Amino acid sequence: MCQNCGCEHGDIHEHHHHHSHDHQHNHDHNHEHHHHDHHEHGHEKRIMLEQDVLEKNKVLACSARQKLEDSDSTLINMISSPGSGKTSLLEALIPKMKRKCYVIEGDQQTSNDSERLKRLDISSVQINTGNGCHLDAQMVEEGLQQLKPLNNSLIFIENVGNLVCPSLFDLGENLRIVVISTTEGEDKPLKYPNAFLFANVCIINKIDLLPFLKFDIDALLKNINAVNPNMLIFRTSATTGEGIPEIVDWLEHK
Amino acid sequence: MHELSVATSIMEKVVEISNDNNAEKIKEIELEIGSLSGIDRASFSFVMECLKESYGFPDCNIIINYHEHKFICNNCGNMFTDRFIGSICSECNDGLLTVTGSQDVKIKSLLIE
Repeated sequence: MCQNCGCEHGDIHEHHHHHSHDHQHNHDHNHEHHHHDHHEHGHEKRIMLEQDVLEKNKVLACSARQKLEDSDSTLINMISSPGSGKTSLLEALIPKMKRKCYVIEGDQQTSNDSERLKRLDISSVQINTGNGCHLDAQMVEEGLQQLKPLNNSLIFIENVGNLVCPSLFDLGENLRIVVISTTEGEDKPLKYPNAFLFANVCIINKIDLLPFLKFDIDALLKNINAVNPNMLIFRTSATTGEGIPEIVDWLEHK
Repeated sequence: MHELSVATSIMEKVVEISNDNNAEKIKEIELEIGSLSGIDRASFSFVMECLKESYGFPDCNIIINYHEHKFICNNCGNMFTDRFIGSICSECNDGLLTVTGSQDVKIKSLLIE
């Protein structure tokens, strides 16, 4: 029951106006709430919600995280711009891993990346988002149901190439890796801070191209540190294999 | 454009709640958006205004309470609101600015008739 007026709307009824009632009440509608500060039409009702719009996504993500933790597995969400070399990194990393690895591939269209991985006998599932610019927890749950990962495995999510939208959605990951390549700008962490702010690890890929590029890696490191001082950073080349053993060693113990 | 998918989720939830409450009219939707949610304010407002037409409540008033993040210098402790993430403190010119704020995207209330 409403504590203000005793009407049946209970605790979801809120009296909307708060200024004092100093004018004649000459409306012809029928309502009984004469003690209100100001008339509110009897048919109006304010419903207090405080409802998290992404609640469903968060519940699914938490559930996935818990299930994987219970099976000693690790879910890794990889975010980057298109063309930074996420698939190439996975092709270089996974064959060297002792732990069983799986990949959930996210792209708007095609199964090209998933097919590349399958050629290396890497278990993967392709999710096409159509017009969507990111994966969500529901898509990842469907991917996990298809992959059925064994205990103590690593499951990589290769998110849609995009530094903006994917940073908004919790996919249930235990680790978030942002990949940047030396063919991009050193100021990417400043231009797209959310992608770097909420990541645990940054992989700087295509390090083998540094001699041929006007790329200031010290400026990049400074910018990463400015946005996220706690970031763990690896330097890699998926082409030459530089830096890959360090990541393999680190991932074996995650 | 994730603003569209978030706004669509909001509209679907609003319709569901208004149906549960036998509403004839949705007069107002009040939202809370944290600036670290990744939601662009202008795009989101535009999309919400477009969707309210297509969902059949063009006269609905949409209130968006946008909560800005804050920055605290890890050297001198000064607080700022109008900086970029990754900025250096403009007071001491030394400390990094740590950002604090909300990632929430919430439907705060509905006013129905």
